[in-house]
Amino acid sequence: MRFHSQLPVEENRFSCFQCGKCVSVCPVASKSPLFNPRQIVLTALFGDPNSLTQRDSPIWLCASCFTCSEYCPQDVNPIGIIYLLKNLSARAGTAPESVSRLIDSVVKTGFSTSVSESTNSRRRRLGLSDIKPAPAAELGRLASLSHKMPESTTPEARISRDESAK
Amino acid sequence: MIAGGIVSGGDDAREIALFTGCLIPTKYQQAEIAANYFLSRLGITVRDTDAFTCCPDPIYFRAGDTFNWLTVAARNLAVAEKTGLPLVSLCSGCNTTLRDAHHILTEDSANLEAVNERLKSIGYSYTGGASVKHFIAFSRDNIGAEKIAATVTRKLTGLKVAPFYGCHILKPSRIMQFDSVRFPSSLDALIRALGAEVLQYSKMTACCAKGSESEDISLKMVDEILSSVSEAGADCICVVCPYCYAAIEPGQIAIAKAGGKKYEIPVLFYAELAALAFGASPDEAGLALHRIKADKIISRIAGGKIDR
Repeated sequence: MRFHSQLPVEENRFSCFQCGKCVSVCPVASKSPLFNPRQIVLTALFGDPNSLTQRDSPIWLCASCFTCSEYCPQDVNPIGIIYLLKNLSARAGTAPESVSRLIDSVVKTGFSTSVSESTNSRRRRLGLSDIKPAPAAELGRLASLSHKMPESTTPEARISRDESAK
Repeated sequence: MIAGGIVSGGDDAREIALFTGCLIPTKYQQAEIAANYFLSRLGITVRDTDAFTCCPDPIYFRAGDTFNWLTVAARNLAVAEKTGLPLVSLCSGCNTTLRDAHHILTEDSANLEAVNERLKSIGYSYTGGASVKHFIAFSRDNIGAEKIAATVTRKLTGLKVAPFYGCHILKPSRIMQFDSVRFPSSLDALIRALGAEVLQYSKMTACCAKGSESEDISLKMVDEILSSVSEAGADCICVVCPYCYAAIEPGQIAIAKAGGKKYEIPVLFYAELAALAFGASPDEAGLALHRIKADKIISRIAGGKIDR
């Protein structure tokens, strides 16, 4: 995998000096020894990133709180690297089922949570208006379009572009 | 004011586009009921717009495919842009998706062009003109603590409130442009405007970890948050996000069920506290819709004498 070439240098990915600040501020790392953002950055940049996109990878423990990137003294943006790995994992079909379940739900119903007739009857009881019908045709159309992501400063967008170029 | 490249909707917005997201309209309607009450008492009307969809979800939807995430977010931004009104979000997750997507789309015109190429097929386009604000940022900037205080008819005097900021209203700070990440105070000021007492505690900016695939990690975080809140002696926690709510209120029940501590600390959205202070009955403020009984905070205010 051409992982390194997919990382935009302008975002200082390679200036990581492994100080561990990301670990010290990470709420998930404080609760689980399985999750270590410093290790993830090291493996992604200098090791084998494929090892992080396997099924049950620790990347899915990340709560996406953005604290690592907020405090990183080198502006390495560890969460950008984790999102990138998650995109790759989802594309490889190794992401947790919750990911495809949520996306399917949004595309079909417009909502990530379940919406049923009982949702609307509860809303009416509470004096709230019915939930508007989802623009399902629009979402279905958007989801079915192919990827043509341009050159971009966001790492995940770079991935999309590289994939579409294949 | 220009914040994060987003043109503000003006400091005296009388009309808004309300973005309620997914969790609030389908599960936690108390936040919507109370926000409607709050806005109507302040003379702010909500414009009927084309249907918004899931923002979409900044964690799982984005993890699955960033470009699709950006495209669906751009559709929501385009719906808001058409109204010419500020988009006010009741959820920190929606706030982070919509602000971040706006940022990505406007910092690089190639991104905007690629997304518009896709939006064209459904008859939308986005030009970068939406103004996205979290409900709390809108309350602070466009309404103001003074005006909120002047609308209070039932001061929440004596009520000890633990403000819980969570993550996505604050971070990434260069895009959220909301408050200090370490020592935020915006929510504190809005709670004080209601006459309540604001408590300081160590976990006020902690992460609820609801975004983690591991429920166990989230419960451990929530246990720490509750322990810190309870040590401070709070009557209730004030949240600004339905995901924090989903982690902390049902989380308490899960912790107790698993043999952990029984905290039973009510968790309220800011709008519920504000509605109560604006004179709403507990039902009008949404207080009946909680699993951890929220109406017990009533015994702390107005001598406990409030009719339903």
